[in-house]
Amino acid sequence: MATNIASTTAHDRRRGRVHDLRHVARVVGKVTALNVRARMEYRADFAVSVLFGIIWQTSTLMFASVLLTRFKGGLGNFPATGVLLIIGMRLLSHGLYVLIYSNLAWLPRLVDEGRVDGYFLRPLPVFTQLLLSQFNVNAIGDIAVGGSSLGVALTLVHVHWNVAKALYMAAAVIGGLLVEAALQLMLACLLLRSPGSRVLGSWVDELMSTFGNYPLSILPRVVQALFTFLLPLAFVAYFPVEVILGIAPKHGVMSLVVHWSPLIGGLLFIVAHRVWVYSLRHYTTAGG
Amino acid sequence: MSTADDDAIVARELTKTFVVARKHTGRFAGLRSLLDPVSDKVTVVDRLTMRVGRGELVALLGPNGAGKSTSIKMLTGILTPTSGEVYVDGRVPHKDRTSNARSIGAVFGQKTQLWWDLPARQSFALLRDIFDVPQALYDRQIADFDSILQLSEFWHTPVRNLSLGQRVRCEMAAAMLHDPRIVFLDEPTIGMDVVVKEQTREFLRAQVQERGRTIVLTTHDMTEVARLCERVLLINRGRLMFDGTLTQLKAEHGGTSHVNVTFAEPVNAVSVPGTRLVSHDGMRAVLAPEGATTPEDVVRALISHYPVVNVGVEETNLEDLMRDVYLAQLDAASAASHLA
Repeated sequence: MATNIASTTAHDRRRGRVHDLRHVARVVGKVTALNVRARMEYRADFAVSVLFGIIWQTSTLMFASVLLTRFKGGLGNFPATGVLLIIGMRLLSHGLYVLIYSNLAWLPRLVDEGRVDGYFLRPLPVFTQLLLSQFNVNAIGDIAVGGSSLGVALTLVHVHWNVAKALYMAAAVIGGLLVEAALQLMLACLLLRSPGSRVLGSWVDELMSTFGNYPLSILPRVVQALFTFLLPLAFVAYFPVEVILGIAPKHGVMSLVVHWSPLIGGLLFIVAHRVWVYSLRHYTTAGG
Repeated sequence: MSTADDDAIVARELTKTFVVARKHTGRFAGLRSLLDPVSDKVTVVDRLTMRVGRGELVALLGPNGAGKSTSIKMLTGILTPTSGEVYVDGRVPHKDRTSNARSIGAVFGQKTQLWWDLPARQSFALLRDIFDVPQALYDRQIADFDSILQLSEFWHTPVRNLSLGQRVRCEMAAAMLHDPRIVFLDEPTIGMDVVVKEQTREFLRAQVQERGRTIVLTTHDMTEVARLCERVLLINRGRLMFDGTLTQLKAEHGGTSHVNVTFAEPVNAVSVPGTRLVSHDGMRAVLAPEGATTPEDVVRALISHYPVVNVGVEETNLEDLMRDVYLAQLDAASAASHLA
């Protein structure tokens, strides 16, 4: 009898969780559709935002093309096509990050406008509502350029593709997106306490776009260590591409770290989300 | 003391303290603030104990910075109290946020909870989905709200293009769409014209009288308080100073009328037994009868003892009454600090 009740309760809880997830998914779909429609009301603004995303990322690509044309043999231990693969994967990860998580940067404004207060009054996670606060149109341009660069890199790079490698690359793109999301989420926690720290978010963004597109092996060892353990942009594309190209370390702890790098993004994101939940408990609101 | 489940709202010794960074001044102030951060603890709500029964419409009043909004934010689960207990509809709001959200609604004055780029009607539909409101209830609520607040005149307009009055009416409907048992309204009629204010009051009355909702209202509009609320809670400096009906408030603080007197020549001191001197600037004075003293007694005493050229009796309005209560508290605090 007791077992029956326990299993029924567990079953109910599971059903409740499934219902909650379906409910959240339905709301996310509807809000996103309406946000897109709202942005499309201003067609010129919509087009300019998409174009801006394309221009911004294309300038990164142009710089990389110049560099790779100058250094035909590649950069450091990386062939030029490998560098292109890093750029393609990072840009796609970044485009997906902009699509899903870039509203984190608007947190101080949303706090000031009292919108975050309102998120506490609805039966949805505050984090989900923050991500749904607006649709970032420039993500379309970012993803378009990221996807195209990755497509070009995949046709040029000398890799014997199989299902496992393709899945590894897909996981790495998601892992890269989560690394960037985790870093920005940690900064968002800081933004809840100190709105002035937004500058830090822009700086991290700048560092990632400046150094994240190239093999870190061309940098001094100290900087490599900093970009691995302090600002872990090595996990976004550099380490996964090393694995895909077959030039990753074969032994030791670093071999393990590099091969499992797509997981690091997930782990970092879980930690960042825990910090976010803790920070919300100490939320101090704006005014009054 | 009532249990957490009996009343709509129970707060016991509720306290909220904020840690505020103190800025250095003078040379290299920014650098010194960074290297040697100093902070102060500011208690905004101080051991607030109160209860609100189901179906009550209560006004939470106080001057700016009294702690009204912070109290409401703790009651709605937005802020976590530093200490004390709080139950809203039997739940601890900050611990059970999702369930709490389903049983409360809130409107925060000029801050919008609607989607800025969307027409209000679409925001309502999204809220229906977020709160999982059954279609039949949603349709009934929308029809009810529209009949009083006349929302359909503008609900197809994007929220960004609505006037303040139109937007706040939409905010109110949005806050109550999921049929919450308890509603918090922080300065809901700010910026509204007289007609819209009256529509809003009618709406709130209907929510309490016909639907049995509990409403906690903060406002600076004393007309609103007089027309809507039987019971008022006065807070100042985060502490509850008065909890009772308007009639009790009038009886306990400064009577129901003031006597305004103008003298023919400056008078150094005005003293009438059974009265409290509210103000005096030489040629003019305002006195408040206390205890059994009537305004007529005061008029007679003034005429017989002072060179009076004009005298009139004025009913104390609610704003004056509130000011008297706050001043009385300040006097008491000042006397206590002198004694200490």
